[in-house]
Amino acid sequence: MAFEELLRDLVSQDWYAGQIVATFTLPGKAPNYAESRLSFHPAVQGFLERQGIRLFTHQAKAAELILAGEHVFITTPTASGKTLAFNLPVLSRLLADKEATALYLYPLKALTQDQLLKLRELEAGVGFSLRPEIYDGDTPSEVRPRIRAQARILLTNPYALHQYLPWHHKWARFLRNLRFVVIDEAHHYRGVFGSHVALLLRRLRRILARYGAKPQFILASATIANPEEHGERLIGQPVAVVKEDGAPRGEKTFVFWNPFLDTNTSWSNQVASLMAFLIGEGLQTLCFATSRRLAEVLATQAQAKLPGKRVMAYRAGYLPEERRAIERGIREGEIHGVVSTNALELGVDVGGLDAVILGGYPGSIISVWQQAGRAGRGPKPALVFVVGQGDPLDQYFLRHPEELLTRPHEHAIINPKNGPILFRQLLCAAGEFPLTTKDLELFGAEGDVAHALLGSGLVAGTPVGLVYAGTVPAVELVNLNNLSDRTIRIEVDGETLETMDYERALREAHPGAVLLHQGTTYLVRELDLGEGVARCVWEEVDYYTEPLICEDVRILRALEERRYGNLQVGLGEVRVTQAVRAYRMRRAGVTLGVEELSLPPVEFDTEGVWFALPRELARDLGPDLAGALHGAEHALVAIAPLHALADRWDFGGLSTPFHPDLTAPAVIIHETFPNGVGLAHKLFSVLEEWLKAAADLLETCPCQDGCPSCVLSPRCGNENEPMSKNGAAQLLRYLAESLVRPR
Amino acid sequence: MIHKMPGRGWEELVRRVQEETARRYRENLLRPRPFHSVWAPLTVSAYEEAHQLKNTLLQECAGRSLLDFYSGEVHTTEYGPVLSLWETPPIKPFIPEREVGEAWIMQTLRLLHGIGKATEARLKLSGYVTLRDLLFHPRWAWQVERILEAVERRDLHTLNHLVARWFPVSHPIALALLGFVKPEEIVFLDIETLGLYTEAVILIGLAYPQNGVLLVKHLVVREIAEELPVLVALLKELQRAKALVTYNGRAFDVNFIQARLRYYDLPHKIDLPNFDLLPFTRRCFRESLPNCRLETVEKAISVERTINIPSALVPEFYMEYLREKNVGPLVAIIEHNRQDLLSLVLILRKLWEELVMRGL
Ligand SMILES: [Zn+2]
Ligand SMILES: [Zn+2]
Repeated sequence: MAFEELLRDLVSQDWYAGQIVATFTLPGKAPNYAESRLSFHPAVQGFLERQGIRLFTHQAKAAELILAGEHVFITTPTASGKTLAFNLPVLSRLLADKEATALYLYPLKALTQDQLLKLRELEAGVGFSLRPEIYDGDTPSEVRPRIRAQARILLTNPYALHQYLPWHHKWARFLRNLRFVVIDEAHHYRGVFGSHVALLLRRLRRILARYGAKPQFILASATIANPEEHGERLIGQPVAVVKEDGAPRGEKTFVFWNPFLDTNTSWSNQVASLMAFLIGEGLQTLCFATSRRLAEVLATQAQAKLPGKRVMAYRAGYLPEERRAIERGIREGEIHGVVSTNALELGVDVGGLDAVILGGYPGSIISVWQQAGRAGRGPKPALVFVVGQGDPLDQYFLRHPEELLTRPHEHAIINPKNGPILFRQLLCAAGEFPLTTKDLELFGAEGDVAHALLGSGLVAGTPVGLVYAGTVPAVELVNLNNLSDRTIRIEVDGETLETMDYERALREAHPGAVLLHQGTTYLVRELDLGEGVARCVWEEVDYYTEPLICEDVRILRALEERRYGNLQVGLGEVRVTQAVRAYRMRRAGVTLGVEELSLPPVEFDTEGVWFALPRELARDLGPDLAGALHGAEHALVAIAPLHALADRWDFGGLSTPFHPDLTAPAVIIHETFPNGVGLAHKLFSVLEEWLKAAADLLETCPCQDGCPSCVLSPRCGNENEPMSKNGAAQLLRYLAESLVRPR
Repeated sequence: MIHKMPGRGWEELVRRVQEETARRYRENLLRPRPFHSVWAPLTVSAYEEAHQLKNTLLQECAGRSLLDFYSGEVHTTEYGPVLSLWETPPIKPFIPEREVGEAWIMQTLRLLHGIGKATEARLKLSGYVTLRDLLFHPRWAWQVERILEAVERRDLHTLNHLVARWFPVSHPIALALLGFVKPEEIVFLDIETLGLYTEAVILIGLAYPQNGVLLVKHLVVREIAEELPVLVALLKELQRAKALVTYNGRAFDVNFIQARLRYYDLPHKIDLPNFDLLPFTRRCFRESLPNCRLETVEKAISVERTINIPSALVPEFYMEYLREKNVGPLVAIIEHNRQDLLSLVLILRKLWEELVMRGL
């Protein structure tokens, strides 16, 4: 192991208190180069030869498939050269066909900047100009006509594409000649956003058909479990998947660090010390933080321990020039340490670093590998520290470190059939051209949606199809990020700070809430739902607030039910009524006080999974029943993101000793998006694993009666009462075993 | 109060989208507009007045049909039925004189490539007063011949091109070209729509002289499904035309119609010379009026509107007509459009006097 000495040194530091709980070394691997030569355009071939670039097997395979005209999904780890793999064949084709154009789509604006530079460099290397340009909300209006007239490669984001599609005639040249649509960071398109984008791409395809264009789709993403499925759902056509990685990797040592084993030093102080130690040892170090504020705090603390070295924070929200300067500083080694939010997880080019610290479980195995992938320069060994936080998943992995390294990557889940999303996207499509029955098929829409469109009065039936009949452009009514038509303005002194959808505002902008905006805290004085305004004042406060949400869940319709003896597990449609009934003020995890609120409830229908328990079990648990159900509910919600790419807040739950629709003690876990985006289906398909992981979470947590790392939830509307950790563990184990027991 | 988000039930969602549509529209229109805008800002009092009018009309028109108020007929086309209404208001049609147009061309030596203001003045001093005088001039003869030919053939495209090359769009000579169009080939055009960008057209107003009187014709979209046949009927109407007269039609009406034709995948080029009166009005009234909104100009030339609703409320009135299945609000829209067309004729007459005749 390459870092033995360094680690010995680390454990002999006077501030070390036994926090290392496990160390693993993953072997490196040699590169796998492609043998065959590809039929690139001579200029591209010449470039490769001049630069002495040899393609790895996965790059060659992807390029070959692209040149053969297939829709391709490249899903290989960070820094494996995905961008080059698709840029070469795209460029090659654009050089051969002087009219051909390509559209590059990135989920975030910041990424387009970076990719534009890469494309321009590649162009300069090849010696041709294809006029790649960024076209989005920031593009000055005076250069827009020129870009529309000349650009052959266009980089943009889905939000901009959504706005520009109705103006397709201005893009006639570009669209007629469109040969490629490149969708980078495709794993970002999940949940509500991903489902919207899938339908946006169908709108694009329909418009392109009118211009006689049928482009190839190229998707690229971090490794995900279901590229075939995700790719097909996203673009509506089958994709050829390239996932074997031919790039070399150095040996990588993972060190798991449990900061809670040292109760005298704060979490951030430990991370800063660790970072300072690594930099002191001459390792250029990148630390990932889970929030913007944490990134700033850690950078400041680490810098204070390292006079004469440079440590910077990096996050979205910085000016592009600032970010470029930091990226350059990292590449050129002038910056010795950087603390970043997940902004650096994506395709931003900073080269490899010697060490990476994961300051908390980033929410998915996909992100773990994206972040860890920043460590290592080619075949050189690299070091990765995993520092857990107090959350259940963090603690779960500190207790099962091998799982973090061996668990399969998550499934990216989207649901382009989500009724409200489909409804909205069809409105937009009808605003572009009349929607025919054949078009409805392309969108995967069934009769009831067409019916609803007609019934809405926003669309009129005509002999040539459904025609948009609204008075405001449909694209202005539809937001790709949420399902809410109502928004609340967050106002400070009459100035708008930001806007939030209604449901989020109830949770985060209620009277008394502390709002964080670009590192500044604001206090909400008043939430005027009639006017749609939350009025705030700027105030430096040292606490934060958490909404306490209570809810009721009714079962509307079962889609699937399974019986295991007297246990019944179901998947189906549920109606959720949620109300923020109070909020809690907290400082460093300690509750300072709770204030009641009176806000209107929100009601929505979505999908969920329910467990209706046998009565005899209720008897066995006795007075612990309610606490056991409650704990099981919290554990199931906390562990759910292990199984589908989602975060904890994408799920909600209810537990009750008697549910009127099930006439039994019940636990219900549901999605928090109206109509659901497919997460409940996913959970239902991995019931056993899900229950086992939840049981395991509770059984291995060293606490006595429950802690925030297992059964206690910061958002619980009942303030975590009643609660029985042991009862919950017993219940979950029983459920997991019931599933495998012969009937 | 429960704020509801729907599952399979659509009604709630739909109601919210509708509310949002109406709210945004109102908000958008109440926002102050730039000074030069041709759409008036909607004041709260105008809004209320219009609503009173709407209620009166709803009462008066309950159970009646448009043909109770207007003469007209429905004819069937291959795309669907088209209702056209017509009338001959007591207003003289505008008859531009060809001689006036010709006089402008003849006196403008600057139409020739190579002649600027100074040269023109010098030539005029040397006795070359009209283009005809240059017909045998060794340097200009060739160009003059071309122009005279175009004048002879009443070739508006060529003349338009020529004028647009050397003069700003608001120059009187650009308007004087209307003299080359036969009166019955001039079509006044004004449309009403559901929105400002890519929404549906709901009414097309046309006016042209026929047998010595002004004929005003409305093609009515009684439901959105009739937009397509109405657009096709418009294309047919325009076959008779050699020129359009509009108010801000370059930026709005013609563009809008072309966008809708494109939407339905119909041939979408409307290739008629468009005499957009807005730039001429600006030139003419720049000094005397605070802005060039149609209603301001109407006041200046003493036009009174009887039934009036602000343009901004047209979409809302139309939605109400559809919802209530009562032609009352639609009558208000037709009247609004009719008045726009009459004003177009009157404004053109005024501009012809002030700019074209006076400039001779
Ligand atoms: Zn615990
Ligand atoms: Zn709870």
